[in-house]
Amino acid sequence: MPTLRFLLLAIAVAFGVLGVATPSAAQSVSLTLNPTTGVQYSDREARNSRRINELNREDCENQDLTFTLQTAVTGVSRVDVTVQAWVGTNCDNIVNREPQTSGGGTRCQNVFGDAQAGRPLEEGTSTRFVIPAETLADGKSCDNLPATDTDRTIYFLAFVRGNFQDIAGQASWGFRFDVGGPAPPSNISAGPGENAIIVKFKAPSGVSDVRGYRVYCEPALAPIGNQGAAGSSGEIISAGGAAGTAAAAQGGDTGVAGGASGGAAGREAESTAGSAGNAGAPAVSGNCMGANLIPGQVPSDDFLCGENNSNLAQQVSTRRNLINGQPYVVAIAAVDTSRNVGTLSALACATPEGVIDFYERYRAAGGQAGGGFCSIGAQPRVGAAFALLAAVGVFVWRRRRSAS
Amino acid sequence: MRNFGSVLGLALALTSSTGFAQGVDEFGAYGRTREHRESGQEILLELRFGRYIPNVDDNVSGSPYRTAFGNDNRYLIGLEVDWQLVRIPHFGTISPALGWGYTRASAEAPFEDRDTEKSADSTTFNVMPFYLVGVVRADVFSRDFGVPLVPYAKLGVGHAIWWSRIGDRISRDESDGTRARGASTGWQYALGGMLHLDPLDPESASSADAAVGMNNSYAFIEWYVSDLDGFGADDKMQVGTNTWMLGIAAEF
Repeated sequence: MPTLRFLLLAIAVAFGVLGVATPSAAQSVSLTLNPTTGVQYSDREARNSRRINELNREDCENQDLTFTLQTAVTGVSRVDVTVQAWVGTNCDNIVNREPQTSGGGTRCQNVFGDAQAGRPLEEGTSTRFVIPAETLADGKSCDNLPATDTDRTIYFLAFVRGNFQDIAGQASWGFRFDVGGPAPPSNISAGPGENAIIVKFKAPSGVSDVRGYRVYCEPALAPIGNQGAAGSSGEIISAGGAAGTAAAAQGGDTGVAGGASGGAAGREAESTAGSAGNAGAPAVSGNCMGANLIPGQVPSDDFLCGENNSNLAQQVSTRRNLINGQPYVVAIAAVDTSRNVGTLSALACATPEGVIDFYERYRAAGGQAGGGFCSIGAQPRVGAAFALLAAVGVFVWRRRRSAS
Repeated sequence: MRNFGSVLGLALALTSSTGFAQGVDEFGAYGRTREHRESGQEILLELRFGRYIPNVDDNVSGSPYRTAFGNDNRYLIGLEVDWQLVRIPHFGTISPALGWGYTRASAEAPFEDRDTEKSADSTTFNVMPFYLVGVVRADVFSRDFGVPLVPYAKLGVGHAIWWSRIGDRISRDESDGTRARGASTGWQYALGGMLHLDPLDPESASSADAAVGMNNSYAFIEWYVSDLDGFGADDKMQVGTNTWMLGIAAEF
């Protein structure tokens, strides 16, 4: 039975190999990343309750993400375990972590520390990684990310004793960047209000991902030209009326002066004075300019002066802290559901002015009411009336109950 | 009112024809019978709608409301719940009732120095009246005589809160900082009539009673008067009105 002896020998050798391998198999490293509680942003307030795995432009530029991995190690000392963080696709395949023959780069990007060293596990049962959001942008800066990004994954890979060929444990988290804002609204017009400007606009066409609109404002660079005053009447002189005096444009370089046509009529008849010239045209919008608001560019929050959080809005009012009589330049930007601010619309100009509202009219007419809702205490007869009605109600109710 | 008369006439005709249809032939009884027994009845709900121009201008010199908002009609929507505590046989019901309504006027505010020129700012005036009234409804005509009309009267106390905005901010009197919101209380009453709709479709009415306990449904019109000026207080705005209200009602 040489064949049987050979078979038994082979089985014994196989068990021997397994026996040698057993200590190695007893080593295990477990990494667990809770997709919600395990990921935290450095500025939680700025997140505005958005989905945790969606990063907008502001996140990309300003946030640090803290990943807290729950770790469990058996059969090996914690100090012998290192963890690397990679972003890309299939980063658990070593091929995607090795330099490519062309270009020398890797398909996946190492996003924490030294790829060769990794990060040792911390004492206890968890290990934290703090990674700037921009680092997760796959080696690109936030400016170079596509407006609509593909889904990404960050891999945390554990290795034992510098053996970077074999992954001892892993965890991953899927996320995506959305850094592009919506197109700007069109047909911008601005109207004066009291310490405010009301901006009307048309929603950007063909854009569905809009959450609301923001208005940005700053003092206009040059005063806006007011309408030129009317020219004066021509004088009566024997040879005909002299031309009326042109009224100077006021308040800027764009107001057209009042007409100087006054003398024309006077030339026709000696006894008739020339009529007053027509009023000059108001300022043209072409000279409505600001120092910082530039159409087509993403505006700075420093110039944010109002918003409307409705995607159906067709107008936005600035906050009521503008100065009456001060010309302002305003523009609108749409905001998407990821809170990305789009580029600025065309500019419009207006000058806030005092208005008379209903309540001011009421007070001017002698009305004294106002100040608050809680005024029933000043009317004792009201309390008595309510008490009387309540008493009647209770009386009737009790009679009814006793009757039944 | 002509349409109302037509509807009333139609209702009366239907009620009469129903009566004629009852009888017995060789196949047995036919037509509508009074076998259906109504469920208990305790609550009446009203959904109300009507023109509402608060009489703000009555208690001040000039006409600030009319100047600000013009002569356009403004409307109020409202709800009322009656608790039909007492039923007097062969007469009707007596109920305490709670009501709520809301109306709003809005217009572009003119410039301070150019009263005829409108700014881009809006001025709004909101009134939210509440009331607690006693209601007497005489449904004897409908119940005992088959005439689908229920006259009623209401009397009680109204309380309205009001506020005014410039754009999205509460307006204020700049001279002393008084904010444009307040409350006014006063008496109010109403007289009206309800058209009983059940005779128009008795089968559906019975089904509604069986399914959700709705005993009766009505369309109504009422003359509504409220004098909400703090019982003549100088520092209260008159936000009451006198107007027609229309609506539908259902008893449960």
